[in-house]
Amino acid sequence: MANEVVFRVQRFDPKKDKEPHFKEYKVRNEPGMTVLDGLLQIKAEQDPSLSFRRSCRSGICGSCAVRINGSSRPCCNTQISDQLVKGRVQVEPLANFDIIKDLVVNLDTFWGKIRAIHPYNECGEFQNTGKALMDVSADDLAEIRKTEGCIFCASCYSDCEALRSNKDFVGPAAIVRAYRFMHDHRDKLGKKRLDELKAKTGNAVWLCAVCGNCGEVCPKLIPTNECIASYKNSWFADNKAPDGLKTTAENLEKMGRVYELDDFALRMREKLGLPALTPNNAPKLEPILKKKGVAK
Amino acid sequence: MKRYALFPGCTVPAQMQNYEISAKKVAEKLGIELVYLEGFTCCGFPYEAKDTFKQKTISLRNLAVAEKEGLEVVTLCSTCGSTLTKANHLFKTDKKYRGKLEDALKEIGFEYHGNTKIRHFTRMLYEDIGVEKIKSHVVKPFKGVKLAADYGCHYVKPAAVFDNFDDYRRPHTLDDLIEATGAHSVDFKDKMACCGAALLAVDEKTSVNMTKYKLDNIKAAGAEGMVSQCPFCGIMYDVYQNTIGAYNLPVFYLPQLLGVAFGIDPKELGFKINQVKATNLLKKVGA
Repeated sequence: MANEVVFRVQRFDPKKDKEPHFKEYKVRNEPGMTVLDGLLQIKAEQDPSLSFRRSCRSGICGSCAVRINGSSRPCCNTQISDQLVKGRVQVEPLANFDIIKDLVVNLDTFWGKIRAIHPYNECGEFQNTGKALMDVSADDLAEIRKTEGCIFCASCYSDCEALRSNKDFVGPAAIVRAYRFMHDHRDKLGKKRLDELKAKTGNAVWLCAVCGNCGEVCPKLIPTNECIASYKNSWFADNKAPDGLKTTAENLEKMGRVYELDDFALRMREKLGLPALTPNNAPKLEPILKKKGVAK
Repeated sequence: MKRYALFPGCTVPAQMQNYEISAKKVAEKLGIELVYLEGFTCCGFPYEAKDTFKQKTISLRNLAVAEKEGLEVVTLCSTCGSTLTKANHLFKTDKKYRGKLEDALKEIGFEYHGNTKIRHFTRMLYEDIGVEKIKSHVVKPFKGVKLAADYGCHYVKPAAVFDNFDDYRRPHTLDDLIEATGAHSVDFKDKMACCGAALLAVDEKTSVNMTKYKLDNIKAAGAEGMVSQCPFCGIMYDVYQNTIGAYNLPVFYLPQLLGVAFGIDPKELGFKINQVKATNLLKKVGA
């Protein structure tokens, strides 16, 4: 049975409007209808001037990502009934991009950063060594498979908290792509991908604020946070981490805590009637931290 | 009396003792005992950048300490909660990884069986005490006071390891507890925006810009104060606030707000440590 729902859609035509604004549309919602179906209905029956990107309608091409109730995802595999808040769905263009018109954004910055990490296998010239060509180990293949689902929909880029405040950050998708090649030993560039970028942008590649949004919004369930952390680990091992993070890690190694319980803190605790707490747990942490890391 | 192991973390005992003391006082009022255990260290979060395996070992070592005492862990920091829960989830779901972690723990003389439960203090209040019982303790209602809820990213993320106890995009548990005091929890733009604290040691400018974004949105929504439940958010929104702008937005930790509403003298709740003074708001509710 169809029910009527409200689509609150952000509109912006740079030729006419000074600022983006919202317009509401009534949509007949049939069971199983997606947010993209809703937008198509509006365009066909109410307002042909509404602009949005779409192509495959089956969650493969990655072109239709928009922000639905503030969270980015492809709208072709998102059902209206799952997104209703008080009978309404809010649809906005992806964030962290300039708007071209309505829900269409300029993705040049996103693609520029993907290109910057050489998103392809740099295996050099083919040499017949007589060995099998596909000798990627099972463990490496498992890591590669984790990332292969990426459809470059830019949802992670749009919901990235650090990017909102610093557009220099390379963003989750590019790091995930670089991670994929780090585990492909046929590739000759390997870790150099992000090293090169680090040389060009400095700490900008370290700007992940660990907010966790990218891992939540990825429509292909890529463990983006894990990939980013793994990259950070390899830089740390190469002594390429920012000084601030090195100090934090050193504190933890030395004291078992990041902040020392100094005299001021201990006096404050005593004044409030809080226990002093063991100020130093280091002896018990040292063996863990001395042990050679076991990569997952 | 219900007993929980209080996991203090790093920031709370060294800098945010106001959060710790108010949590203790509120717990006492509600018949909860928060126990301090010997041997807790940092949760391991900062080690994620250096070595994720060792990070997990640090987390699980802490959980082993609590398991030995048979106590559930309650954290004050959203990030401690998430880091410990993530390690526990991995330990319980990934057999291969579990073996490696067990070996690493054995080497330092610890054993863990995956039995420790971890919850954030707020979640524990919501689930074990409940909004209605908390309402019944309110003697100084914050009637009509507009407050903004600050969850902290890691209170509900990664959603997969938190049994979806709250919606990561539109959580409500903290709002419900704020409203239990009679206050109005205001809605504001990008409510789940990140404070940027994790970038403080990498790029202070970006970090502070992130804090500013949320403070601007909260101010625009007409809030008179903020309610936080994460000490690192607290550093950004309270300690850094005056260096960013003249917002005059007092930042309560949830148990400070509940404590005042329960009629506990603000002097006992560590308000001296709060940088942005809540004096006017406290006067408004007669505390």
